[in-house]
Amino acid sequence: MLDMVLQGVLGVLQPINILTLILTVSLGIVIGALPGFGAATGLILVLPLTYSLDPGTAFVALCGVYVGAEYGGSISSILLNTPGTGGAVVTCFDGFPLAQRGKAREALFISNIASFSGGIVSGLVMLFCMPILGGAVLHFGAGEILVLAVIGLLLVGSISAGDPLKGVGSAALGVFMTCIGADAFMGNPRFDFDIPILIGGIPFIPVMLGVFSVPHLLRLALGRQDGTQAVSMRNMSMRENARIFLDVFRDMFARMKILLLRSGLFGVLIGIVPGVGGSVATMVAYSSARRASKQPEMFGKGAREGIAAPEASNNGLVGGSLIPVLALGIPGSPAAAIFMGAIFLHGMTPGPNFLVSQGNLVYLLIMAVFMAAVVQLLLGFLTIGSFANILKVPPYLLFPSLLVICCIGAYVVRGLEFDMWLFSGFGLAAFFLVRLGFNPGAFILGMILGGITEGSLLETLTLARAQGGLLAYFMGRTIALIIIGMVVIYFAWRLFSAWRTHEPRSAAEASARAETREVGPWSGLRGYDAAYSVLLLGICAWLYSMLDELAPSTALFPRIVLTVLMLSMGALLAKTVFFGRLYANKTESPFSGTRWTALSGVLIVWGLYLWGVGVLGFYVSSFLMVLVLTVMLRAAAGEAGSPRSLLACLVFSVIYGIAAYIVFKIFFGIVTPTGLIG
Amino acid sequence: MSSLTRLMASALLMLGLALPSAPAARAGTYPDRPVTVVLPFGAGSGADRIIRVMLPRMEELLGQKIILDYKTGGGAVVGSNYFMTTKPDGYTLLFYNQPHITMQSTFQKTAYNNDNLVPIFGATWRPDSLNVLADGPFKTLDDLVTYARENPGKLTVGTTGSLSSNHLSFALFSKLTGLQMTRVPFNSAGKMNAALLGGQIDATFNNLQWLTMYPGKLRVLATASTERLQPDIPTFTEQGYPEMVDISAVNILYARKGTPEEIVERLRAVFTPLLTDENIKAEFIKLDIGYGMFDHNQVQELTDLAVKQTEQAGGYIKASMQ
Repeated sequence: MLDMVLQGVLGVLQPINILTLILTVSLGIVIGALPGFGAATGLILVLPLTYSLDPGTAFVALCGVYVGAEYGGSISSILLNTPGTGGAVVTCFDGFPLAQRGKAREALFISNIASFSGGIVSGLVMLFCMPILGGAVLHFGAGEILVLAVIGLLLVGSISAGDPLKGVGSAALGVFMTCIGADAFMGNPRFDFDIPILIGGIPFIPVMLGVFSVPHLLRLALGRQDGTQAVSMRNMSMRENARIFLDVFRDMFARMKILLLRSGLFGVLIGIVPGVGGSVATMVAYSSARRASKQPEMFGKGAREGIAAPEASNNGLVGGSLIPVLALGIPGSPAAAIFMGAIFLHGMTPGPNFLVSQGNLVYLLIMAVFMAAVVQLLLGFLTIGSFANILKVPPYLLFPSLLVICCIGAYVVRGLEFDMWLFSGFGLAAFFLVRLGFNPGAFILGMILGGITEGSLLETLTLARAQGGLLAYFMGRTIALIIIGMVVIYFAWRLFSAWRTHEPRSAAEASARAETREVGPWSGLRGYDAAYSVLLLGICAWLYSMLDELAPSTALFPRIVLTVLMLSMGALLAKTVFFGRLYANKTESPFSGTRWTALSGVLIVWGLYLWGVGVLGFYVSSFLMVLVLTVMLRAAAGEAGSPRSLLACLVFSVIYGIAAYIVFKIFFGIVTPTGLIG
Repeated sequence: MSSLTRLMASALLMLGLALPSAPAARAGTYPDRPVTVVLPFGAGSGADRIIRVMLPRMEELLGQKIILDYKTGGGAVVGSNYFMTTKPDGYTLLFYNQPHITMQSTFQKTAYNNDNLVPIFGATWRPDSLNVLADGPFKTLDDLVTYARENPGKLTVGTTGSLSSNHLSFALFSKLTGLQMTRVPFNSAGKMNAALLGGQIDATFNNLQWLTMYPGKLRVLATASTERLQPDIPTFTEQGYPEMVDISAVNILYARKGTPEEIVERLRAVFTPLLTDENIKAEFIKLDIGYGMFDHNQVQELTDLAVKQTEQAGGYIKASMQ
């Protein structure tokens, strides 16, 4: 055990790993700072680049991106009042007001130091957990995994923001996606509609990339210049910088030790629970900081604690979410799911035997969590503000460049062009559906937990049948019973406290309720709700009718999922019809303000691009798309199309195309579609 | 305006650069460009590790670079179906295994089958084994059979995936003994072994590779080989099940049917030295992959055997997928 820790320390201190961390933490910070590009997206984009690395360095690289992105998310929260990642939403509350008061630098330092401490706390918890877990995990069988996965799904449905029915519906829809293709237990195909490629199922990485990033990308491309500008910082000498940093550090050390520790622990603990993400952890940490504060009225107006608490907890989440992946093979968040994919990619299986057989790698990873925190602290200090420059890159350059990277990220996991279409299709659907209350986070978590739930459910049933029934099976399983007991107590407590207080559960919900009261009985959204619940009910009924042809074990899980989906949509329909007014919270149509002309222009080029990938090859097609889109989006943004600027666009696309070729093809040896002509 | 013309000119130029001097595939010059091998299991899979061991030597013999193209999903069906859409010109090959191909094409809709794949050579040999916990109740194969006979449906046996060699072993053994056992498929051997070690299941069909990984923890009751693989481990044959023989996943390099005969012959000839390469043998043994090399005739024999065993166990295979 101790020698493994020591080996981990020595491993992470190797020059190659330090260098990897510096590169990947920087990359993570940049990706995290981009609105809509969270840790999970960053990990997907880096994943293909780790193919050619040895497993240890690959994990170190992914760890660096993860840690960097969780911190980077706060940069755009603080400077732009736009969260870069889901975990940085809360950071806006106090980060932006503080920056507006001319203290952007302090705010960034607070976030940096808090993220660092969160990283250290999560590393420590991992370090102490692993030896204990190592012995216990072998007793985790299908029954225990099933219980955990179901808890994850229950929490996804109940915690997600907005209308809980839509949350449950989104999660169920996500779970149903995992029912397409070979089933998770026997491998029998289903719902493939005689399209051969669907036997492989709907892979979650392209879908996640689309659902999370495309809405933001499109908003970026079509964004009106509505005056949101990043708070700028004046240049400062290193000395002055260091002075401010030390001031902040001393202040935090004096006043926030407990707060940082507590917030970090919240992050770790919430990270361990499957299905509950960074937004919950940061909210819990923030409200507990406010409760503990002597000046709670300062929160929301630029309180330093209001930045420190969420930032410590979202970095604490990193280690927390990796624990169930390493120990049990259950990813609790999208980022953790990608980490798990990376472990598979390197020929290992996360889960019980991983801790035993790959102990060295596990400890290397834990040490990387520590080291990434240190690197992030130093980088955050040394490069203060310069990472923020990514926010100043004009959208007409950013959009096409990111589109290329997303497409390769979607493609590379399975090596199928089809996945680029999946990415685009799901992304576009999400762009519209989000406005109708579709919850992308719940949807993706449903996709992540769906396969695990089905696999463990059928395994549990098979074993239970062999052992004489479900009751007999679970009676012998203390761990499962303890977990079930804890969950029952948790839900009972929540019901009890909801009943006692009669208060809306969260601030977001309260404000949503407040808005609804002002709205008249006829609103656009009501019509949409009714329309899509009816549509979904129809589709479900059609899919349901296909179940009878399947083998019993193959049909069981889709039957459950479709039932849940139909129940939630039926309830939504009933609610819309009978209480429509209460739940309408927008006076205008959810689609007002969409620039349809620009959107259709972008989509046509996008479609041609994907088609071109198959014909002209990836790089040529990317070059042409970047060129056309930069010119087009510049024109749409109202900037003059002088010959010089056209030339600039051309130069940019040529350089970008060549750089992409060098990085992906030559440096990392990624096989991309070559098209019909070679 | 001038910049627009320049723009278009350069776009055309880029197009021109991308246009290859693609000559028709002719055996005389084959291979005059890199050859792609489709791997229907992902990077890091067992097949990936196996081909990577041989890759440097293969490139040397072929005189061309070999690009590994991972096309994964659906228990390798997606990648292999994709392979059937590529040109049969010898520049795209498939690395996939028997008895998987036989089982899948028999029980599922697939674009590929034993008739439209042309074997070049095969690698790896690790016959299936029936394994239990070393300190568990079953000391011999007879113990297990007796228990299973007295308790129909109670014995739980893990296999990796469905339609795999393990699945074939399970079904054939069920057929030969007439036993009613419960099959529990796992999506990886690692998970399955953890379940066995944790007492979640009673036995597994797997291979000897895991003995070294968990020293002293597992007991092998029988192996599906003609001779003993280790002196103290008996075979199925010597315990009265002579049909339980030569069941092993064998990874095979395939060309598509329709590939010019000269190119197929050339590929077979070019890779012949691989079959006796001592370095590769040493590397296989070092990595505990299970050494075995087969020329295309031997691959054909193994395939014929797999077809025969699949037919024999057919009903049981189907029943254990419900």
